[in-house]
Amino acid sequence: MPQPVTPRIARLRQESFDTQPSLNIERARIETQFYKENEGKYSIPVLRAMNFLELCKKKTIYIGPDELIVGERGPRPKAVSTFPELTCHSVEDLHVLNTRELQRYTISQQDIDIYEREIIPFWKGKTQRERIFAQVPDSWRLPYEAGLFTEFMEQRAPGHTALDGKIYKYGMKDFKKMIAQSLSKLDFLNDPYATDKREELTAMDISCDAVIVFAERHAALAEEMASACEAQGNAVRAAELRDIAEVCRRVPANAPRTYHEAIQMYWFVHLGTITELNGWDAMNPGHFDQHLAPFYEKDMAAGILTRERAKELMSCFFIKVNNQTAPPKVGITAKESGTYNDFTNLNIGGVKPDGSDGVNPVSYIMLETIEEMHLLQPGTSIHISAVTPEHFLREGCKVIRRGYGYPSVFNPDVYVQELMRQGKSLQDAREGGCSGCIEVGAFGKEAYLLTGYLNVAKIFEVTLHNGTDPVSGKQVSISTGDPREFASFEELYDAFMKQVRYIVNQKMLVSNYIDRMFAKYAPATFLSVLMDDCIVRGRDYYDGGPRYNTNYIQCTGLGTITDSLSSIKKHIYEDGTFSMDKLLEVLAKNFAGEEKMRQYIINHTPFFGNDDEYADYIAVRVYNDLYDSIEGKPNTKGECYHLNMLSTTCHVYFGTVTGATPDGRLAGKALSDGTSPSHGADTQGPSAVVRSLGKLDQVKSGGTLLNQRFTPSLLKSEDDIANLAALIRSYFALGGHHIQFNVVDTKTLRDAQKYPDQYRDLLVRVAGYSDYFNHMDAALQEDVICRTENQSF
Amino acid sequence: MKGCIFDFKRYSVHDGPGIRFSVFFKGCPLHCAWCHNPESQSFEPQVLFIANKCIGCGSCESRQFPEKCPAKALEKCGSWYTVEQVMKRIRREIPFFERSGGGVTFSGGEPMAQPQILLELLKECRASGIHTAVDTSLFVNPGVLSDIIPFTDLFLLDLKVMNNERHLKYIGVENGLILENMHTVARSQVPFALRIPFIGGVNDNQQEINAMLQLALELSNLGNLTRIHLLPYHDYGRSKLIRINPEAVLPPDSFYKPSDETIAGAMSLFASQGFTVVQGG
Repeated sequence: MPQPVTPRIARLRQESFDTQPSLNIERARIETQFYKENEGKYSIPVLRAMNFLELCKKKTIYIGPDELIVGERGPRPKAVSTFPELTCHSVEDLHVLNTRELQRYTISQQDIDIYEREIIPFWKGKTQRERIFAQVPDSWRLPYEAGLFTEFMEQRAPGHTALDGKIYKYGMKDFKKMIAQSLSKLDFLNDPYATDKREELTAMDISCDAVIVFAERHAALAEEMASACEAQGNAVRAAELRDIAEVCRRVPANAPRTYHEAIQMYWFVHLGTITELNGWDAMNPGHFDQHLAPFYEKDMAAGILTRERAKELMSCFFIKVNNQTAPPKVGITAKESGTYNDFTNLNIGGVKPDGSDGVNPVSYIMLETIEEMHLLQPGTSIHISAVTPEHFLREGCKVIRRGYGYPSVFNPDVYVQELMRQGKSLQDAREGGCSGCIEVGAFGKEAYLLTGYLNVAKIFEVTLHNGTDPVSGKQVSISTGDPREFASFEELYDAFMKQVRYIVNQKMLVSNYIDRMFAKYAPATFLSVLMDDCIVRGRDYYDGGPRYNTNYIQCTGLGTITDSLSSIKKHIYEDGTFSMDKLLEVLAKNFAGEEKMRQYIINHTPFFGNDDEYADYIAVRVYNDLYDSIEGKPNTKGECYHLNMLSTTCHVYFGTVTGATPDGRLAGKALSDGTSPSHGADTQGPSAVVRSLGKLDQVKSGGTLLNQRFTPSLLKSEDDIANLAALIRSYFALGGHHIQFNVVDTKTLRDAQKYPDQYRDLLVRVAGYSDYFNHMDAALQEDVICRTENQSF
Repeated sequence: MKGCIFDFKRYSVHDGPGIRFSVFFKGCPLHCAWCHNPESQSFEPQVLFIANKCIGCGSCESRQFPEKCPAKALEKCGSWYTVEQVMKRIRREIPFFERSGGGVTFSGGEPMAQPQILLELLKECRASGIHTAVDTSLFVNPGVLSDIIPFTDLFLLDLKVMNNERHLKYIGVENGLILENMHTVARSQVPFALRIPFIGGVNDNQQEINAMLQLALELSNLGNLTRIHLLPYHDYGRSKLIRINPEAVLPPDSFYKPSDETIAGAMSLFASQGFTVVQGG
């Protein structure tokens, strides 16, 4: 295995790997005290910005031994802040987090007591989550509780995003000038929103000051530590600390001048956004290699940087991202998305805004860093356009072969079309890419909010029961008829789509409501500084400030629903192998005593993922109808909803609430993930899978997800690597958006279940991210193991 | 015109260059004792029984009605296909051929044992610009071979046993015709690879290895020998015998995988003479 670039990096990496995540109450205490003293004195945006300033002034500053890139959200690595203004953990939550086996967050009894005494009483009834749940109608609550969909924004702030290149050209002082200019142009005579804009712009200005203060405190600490080092005779570290101090005085107040300053610039900005709020998909530098390349080239030419030093700084950055464990949810269900991972996804390669090849020397440094770091975070992806050099793709495939689940592979030639179809300009689309898992957006210019997952298989189950959830017996949706009385497959399909449209509408009406709650009560005033055109418009990131404003609904279980419809169409309506009555009876008892029928379905039904026209036609039809149900519905910002086909780990949770399905899947088992075929349904190898997927017009989505599992034996030689690269190129030529690989055999995974201690660093691809196999619960482990294994062709 | 084919394999990456589509012809004139695809030997469709899939439901009425098996424990091995039916499957893979430098590999069984349909398929592929490989034992009529050669882009030639007596013993025929055909292929200048099933106790002794090396040198002087593949023995084929005849009693396995040292030794010997030699594939 490749070793870290320097002994320093080896030490820092090991420390980051070994540190147990803990919950830290410092942020909650500072914020609660601030709110006690100031709530009501200022407009909400100004209050939020002043709260952010207060946090930056008071939080504990951390500079660790050996560090070159500095700054932590908490007082030390992996000490995770809480955000009680959004969701306030109960004492019970804290106890569970402290003691649960998986994804544990330690917290002392003393801190739990403080939380109980100071934090919880103050926020009771005032959190975003409580405000939201106080308002939702039964028509939403019933299907929500039955697991027909989830709602992202009830736990965390709506998805943060990725940045473009502006922070490498402008510092906070420059942004303050732009804000001042925007303020000076306000027309209080004719613009009814001028006052609101003034408050928002004032808040943005304060937010800029906050990150400057934050950086200056690091500079002061570094100087203090440098003096101490000198006193101890450690001149080398003293000099490093003086350099760090100089960098922290320069950025983020001013634009960076060097490669080192550019990375530190991004890092302070990153910390600012995840300190002010707790956004999904944390934060992401976007095309980091393209942003850093000019600094790298200039510093190398000037002789002030070596390639090794550049990689060391990149490694420091990776470790910093790994130190920022995701804040845990409240109401503790690890089921929906149980992971420490906070989904920072570095985009490597791809195209430049002018459409030319974006691969540069920093791209290769990043690939090597992925191999050498072998850490949970950051997530990484390579972006392979038709103009991308074959060498870069193959080097990327060699990292994939390592089996960490990183990097995933994206197709800019398709996602640029996706973004343009949604209305982005060509240049903005090319500057875009993927943040988080597989969802795409225009970096630095778009708020693209994932609003939650739709359990399409469960909606079908409810259709089969005329609007009733067979698990609870409750009527959770509209009546669309008893399927036993349907004369044709078309009647059944129509009823299913009526249910889909109804449920989608229920979900949207609450998502829209929550959207406005964030715009009103939890504006992201610092993130707004970074996002075109919030400053010009004088509006917040959550309030239509960005140039583009998108809402996504992520549909889950395309494979399961396709195979279920295929089974019914063939066996009931065409061959008459069994009746609807019989099917419903068998599903109700979860195929108990009916193994023969289940085997017949599994072995004699055309399934999605085999390049079989019968099944693939159904998949395309469902996909297009999901698109029609979601696409173009207005959001609260004068723009609209789009379809997304991501499942993260939600297909496992959705599986637990969904009974047996007509494709032979047993009750409680995971649904198919993303746009992947159902587990084990694809028997014709990866070329058949990608041909099936290629039949979906993926440009209509904002992202699809394809998991493939290869055994290491299939990726041994240079020829194997070349073939993997060709498979990727072929899928992308067929219109694929994304593909990712787990390269690990079943035996290894079974072994890891038995001997977890020997496999502490076994990273596997889960959904749009990788996770440690031994951090996953048993159901999710099984899900990964059950993905069809491609071997020995 | 129809051919009996028992399997199609997509994303086949060890039977020639690039991503390939493999077509397995049913029927073989040879009966190698170590055959890893025993179901490919008979020229007629057969029904295989895969015991671990059987749920014991009795639907097949003692295996009389295999199509009724819900679990596909009874599997039809071999069906008759027209040229167009096969070409339709091949054409689905063109995007992968184009980007990987791959193509179709006709394998078996022995593809040249069904020469007419093989020739038609090769001509169709040639007309569509699809690269073709023929994976063969070369135990064929020289007239058939000379018809096939002009429409083939690559031959994958089995090199089994050099000693004629042992060839007769393990394979049931003498090797003279095969060796002669090898020279014909080499002289044609169509690229070819040698694939050596490396069987412990049969051809892993130094004498055999040296003889194979001599032959390889001779052939490469004549023509375009691209690679030598060493395929160490595995016993997967034995378990498949039970599928053909569940009542079969298997004799003890008299073959074994040669030691790692023997494999490495043979590989470095071939490599020392300038051959590209790979294990597997």
